[in-house]
Amino acid sequence: MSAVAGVSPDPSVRTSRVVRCQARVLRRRSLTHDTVELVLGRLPGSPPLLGRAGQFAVLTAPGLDRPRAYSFARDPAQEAPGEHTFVIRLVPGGAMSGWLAGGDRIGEIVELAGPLGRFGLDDHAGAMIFVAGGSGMSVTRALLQAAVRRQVPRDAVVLHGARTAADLYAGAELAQLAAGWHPGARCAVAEVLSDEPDDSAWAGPRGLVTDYLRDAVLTDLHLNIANASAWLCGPAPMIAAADTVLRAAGVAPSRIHRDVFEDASSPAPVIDNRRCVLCDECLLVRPVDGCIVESSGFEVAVDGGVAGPCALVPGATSGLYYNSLVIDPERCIRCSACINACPHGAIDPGYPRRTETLRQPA
Amino acid sequence: MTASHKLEVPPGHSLHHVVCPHDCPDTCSMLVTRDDSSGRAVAVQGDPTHPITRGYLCNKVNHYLDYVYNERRVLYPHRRVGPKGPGARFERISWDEALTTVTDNFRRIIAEHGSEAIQPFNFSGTLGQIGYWVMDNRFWNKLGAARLEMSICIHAAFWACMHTYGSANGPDLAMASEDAEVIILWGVNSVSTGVHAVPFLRAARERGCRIVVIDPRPTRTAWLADWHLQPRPGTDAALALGMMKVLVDRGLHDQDFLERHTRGWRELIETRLPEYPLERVAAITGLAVEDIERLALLYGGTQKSYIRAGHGLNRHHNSGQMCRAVLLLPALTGAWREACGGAGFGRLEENWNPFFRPDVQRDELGDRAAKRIVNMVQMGRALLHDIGWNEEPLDPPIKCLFVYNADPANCVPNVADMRRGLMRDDLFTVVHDTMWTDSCDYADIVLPADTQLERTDFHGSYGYYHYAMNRPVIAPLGESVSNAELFRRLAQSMGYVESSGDAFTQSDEDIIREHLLDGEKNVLVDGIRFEDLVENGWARANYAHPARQWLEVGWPTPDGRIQIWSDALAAEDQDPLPVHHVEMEGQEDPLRARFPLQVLSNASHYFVGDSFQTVERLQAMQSRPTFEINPDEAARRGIADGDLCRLYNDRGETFGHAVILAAMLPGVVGTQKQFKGSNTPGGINVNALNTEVLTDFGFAPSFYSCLAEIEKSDDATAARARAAAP
Repeated sequence: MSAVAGVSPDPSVRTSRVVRCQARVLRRRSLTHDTVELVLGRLPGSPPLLGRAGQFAVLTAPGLDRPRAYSFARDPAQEAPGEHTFVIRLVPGGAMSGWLAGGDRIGEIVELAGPLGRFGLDDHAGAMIFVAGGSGMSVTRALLQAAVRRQVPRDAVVLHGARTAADLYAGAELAQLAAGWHPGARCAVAEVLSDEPDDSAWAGPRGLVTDYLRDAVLTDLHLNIANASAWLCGPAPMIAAADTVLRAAGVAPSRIHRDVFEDASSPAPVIDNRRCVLCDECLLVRPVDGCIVESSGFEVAVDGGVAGPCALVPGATSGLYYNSLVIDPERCIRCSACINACPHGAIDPGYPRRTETLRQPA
Repeated sequence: MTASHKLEVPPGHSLHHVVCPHDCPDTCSMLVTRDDSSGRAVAVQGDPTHPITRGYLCNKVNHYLDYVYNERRVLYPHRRVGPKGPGARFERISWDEALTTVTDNFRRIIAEHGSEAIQPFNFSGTLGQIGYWVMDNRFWNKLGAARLEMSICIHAAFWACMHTYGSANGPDLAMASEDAEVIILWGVNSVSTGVHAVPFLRAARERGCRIVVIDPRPTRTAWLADWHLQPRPGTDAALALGMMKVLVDRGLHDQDFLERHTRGWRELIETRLPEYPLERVAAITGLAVEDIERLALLYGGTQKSYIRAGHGLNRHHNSGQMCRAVLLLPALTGAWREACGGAGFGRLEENWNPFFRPDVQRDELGDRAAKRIVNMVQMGRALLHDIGWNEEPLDPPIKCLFVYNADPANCVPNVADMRRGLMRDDLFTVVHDTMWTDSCDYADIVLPADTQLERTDFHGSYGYYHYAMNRPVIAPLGESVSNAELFRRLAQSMGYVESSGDAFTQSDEDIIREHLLDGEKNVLVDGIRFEDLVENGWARANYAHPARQWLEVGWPTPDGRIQIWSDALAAEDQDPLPVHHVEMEGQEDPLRARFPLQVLSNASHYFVGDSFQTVERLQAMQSRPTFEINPDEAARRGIADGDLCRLYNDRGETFGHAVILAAMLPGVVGTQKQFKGSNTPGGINVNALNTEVLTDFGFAPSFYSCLAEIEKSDDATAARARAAAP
C-alpha cells in the first residue's frame, strides 16, 4: 500500500480559527449620506486574522456594551497586511452609529474578532446570481473581488437594489470588477432603484430588485437556471423574496446562499454535556467574552430544567468531575463559530438544556 | 512552506508541520503558524488532513503556545546555590560551565566508583524516538552507565502481549470502528487520554456497533457507551475468564481457530475455565451474574469484535495476568479472523520494539549490556537504601542521577523515599527539563530543554498506524537544547566524538533517514520516504505488509501460535495460563479492614503526566487534587463535597478535596496521578501512599494496588512542612 495518503482535506473540518485582537481605526470615508467605510489596522503583535470573502467579524467599540457583526467589505486576501475594511450603515439610534457620530474616531482602538460564518463562494461550475440590497452590497463586493482574483470561469449576474440613486456607491467598482471577470465568461451588472423620483435622470431599471430578478434575469434564456448558484445579501424581506423567486424559477435550494445574520430572536446553541469531551475547541473560537463559560454544574429550576450554570471558583476547581461548558444565551451573538468548531457534534440550537453532569446524575 | 497547501495563512506568515510529542496514543499532527517577521509561533491547530487528528486537538495541546512561551520554562543552565529540596535556589551559569561541572563529576565518579554509579533516569517527556532513546543511549553506552528498566508505564500490558502474541498487533481503534459490531473499551478513559478515538466510536455506534465501557469509575467515556460496567478494580482477569467459560459452555468459541492458531487451548478449557463459574466471578467482580453472561454473549455473538484495553488494567499488582486474560478473548472467539477484530492496548509492541536496535543505539560503543540495571519504579529505595534489582545491594551506590524527560520527584511510587533519596548529600543530580519541575529542587545542575517547536524528531504512534516527522518551527528559546543536542554536547565534553564513528556526528535528519526509516528492519515504515515526511508531515504505516499478516505467516512467538499457554511465563515461575490472582492491597485484601479504600490514581483530564501543569488555563481548570468518593463513604466519615481531606495509610499521606460522586463504587477512591506535589495542599502527591512492589510480571509499578483511609482535615500546613523536611 502507498505509504502516504493522498492529501485531500475534509472540507467539513474547520481550517482557520477565530482570532480576537485590537485594531486601530486607520481611515474613514463616507460612501453615501448614511453609509461609512472604515478601515481598521490590527495592532502590531496581534495574531493574524484571516477571513474569506463572505465571512464576517464582530467589532466592539469603546463604551459599547456588546459587539456588532459586519461582513468583510473587501476580499480579505487582497487587503493590505493587517487591514480590514467594513461598511457600516448609519441607523438612527444604532449603537455603532452613535459611536461613529461622536467624532471621526481615527486612531481609536476597537476590538475585532473573526473570521466568523460559513457564507462564501461555492465550488460549483454553474452561473452565479448575486442579489444585494442595502448594506448587503459590501459583502457582495468582497465576493466579486474574490471571484475575480480566482478568475472563476462562471457567468455572473450582479443586481444591486437600492431606494434611490443617492444610496448607490459601488457602481464604478462593480463595472471595474465586471471588466476584470474571467475572459471566458460574462459578468452583467444592474443597479435597480425602487424609490427614485420619476423625474430624475436615472436611466437604469426601476422597481423592486426581486421583481427585476424575476422578470428580467431569470427569463434570460442564456442562463442555465438549473445549474445556477445564488448569493442573497441584504435586508431579510429582500432575501426572502429573492429566495422565493429563485426557487420558483428552478434554482436548487441547496445552491441559494443566504447571508442571514442571526440575532437574539433565534435560539442560542446548546452544548450537550453528554457529547462534549471538553477539548476546548469551542473556547478557542469565542468571538466575545462570556459567550461560553465553564461551570461547576447547574442550578436546577423548579420545573427540573436549567436555572443557570454554577460559576467556577478560581483556585477551587476540581477538574473533570466539576467542569462543564455552557453557552450563555444572553451573551451569545449567534455566530455559530462554536457549532462549526466542535469536532464532536456537541453543540446545536436544537439540543435540550439538561442539568446532567457527571456529578449530577439525570 | 511545505504545509502551506493545507491551510491559508496571512502574508508574512508560514505554516509548519509539528507532531505532538506528548505521552498519548494519538500522536497528532499539528499545523503551526509562524509570524516570519518576529519568528514567533502564533497559532496551533490540528491537521485537517490527518486521518486521526482530523483538524482538532485536545484540551491540553490546544494551549500549546502557552506551554512553549511559558514563564516557568528553564531557559538557561543553572547551578543550585544553597541546600537541596523544596524552595531550592539557583543561579544562572554558562553552558561551558554547566558541561564542565557535569563531566568533571562524571570523571570523578567513574574514577572513584566506576561508571555504573552513574544512573540515567528518563521516560516519556517526549515520545520522539531520537529524544526518547537514541542519542542518549549512544552516550550512556559509551560511558558505560548503569542501565534503567524503563517500565513505569504500560509494561505489564506490554509483556502480557509479548508473552501471548509476540511483537504483533492487530487493527487500531479507527480501523476497528469501520466494521466492528461490538467494541469494548476496557480500563480506558479515551475522552481524557486519547480524545481522537471519540469520533470513531460515535460513528461506529451510529451505524449500530455496540459500545461497552468497562471501568470502575464514571467518566465521560462511559457516557459514550451503550453500556457501562463497573467491576471492582483489579478483578478483570476473573471477568475475562468468566466470559470465556460462558462462551465455551455455549459453544460460541471458534474451535477451528484455537486448533490452527493457538497453543494451550485444551489446558485453558479443561483445567482453567472450570475454576471460573459465573457465581464465583460475580462474587469476585461485584457484577451481577446476568450482566457477566450478557456481556459474554454480546461479545461472543460476533467475530467482529474489538477490545481497546487501557492503562487501568495495567497498574495493579496482578496486572500481567489481568492484561493477558483480556488480550486472549479474541483468540477464543476467533475475532482475529476479521479485519476489524482483535484486542490491544493500542499498538505498543510494534511501535516501540523495532527501534531498539544496535544500529540505532550503538551497543558496540561499550559493554553496557553487562552493566547493572535499576528499575525506575524502585528508584526511591535504590537511592535511599542502596537496594537494586532482585533486592540485591547496590555496590557502589548510585552517585549521580541524570534526569531527563521525567520528573522523579513526583512520578515514581513511594515518592517520599524518592525525595529523601534525592536529598542525599553525596548524590550529584542533573535535571534537563523544559520547565522548572519539582525534581529541579533537588538538582545540582539544571539544564534547559526545548519544546517540540524547536527540534527535529521522528514519531510513531502507539495508538494508531502512522508515523510522523517533526522539524523546528522557531529558534530554541533562551539557551535550551533538545535531548539529542544535550548528549552530543556531553559527548564532545567527554572527548567521545572522535572515537565513536559517526555516533555523535550524525544529524537528527541523518538518524531518521538512515535508521528510523529503514524498512528492512521495520516493515511498518517500509515505503515511507523521508521526502514524504518533509512534504506531508506524517505518513500511514505499512499495515498491509505481507510479513505481518499473522493469520498467514503465524504470530512472532516461538511456535508461531498464540500462546494461551506460555512457556516463557512458566520459566519465570508464573502461571503459564491466564489466571486471576487476588490483588495485593486490592478489593480482596484483608488489609481493607484498616484501610478500606482502594486508591485509583488516574490521568487528569487537564495534564499529561507532569506536563502542562504549568499552563495557566489547564492549571486553573484543575487547581487542586481531588478525591472522588461514593456518597455513602463520604457520609460515614462526615465528609462534604469540596472538603479538604487527608488520604493516608501506613506509608504516607496526601491532601486533596472531596468530590462526591453517586456513580463511584464504594471501597474505591479516585484521584489524579502525578499531580505536581508542590501544587498540592500537603506538598506531596498520592505516590506517597503506594509501593515499589512490581507487577506479577512486566516489572511495572502497581500504582493502583494501594489501600488507604480518608478523613476530613482542617489544615494541611503541618503536613506540608513534614513533606518538605529532609
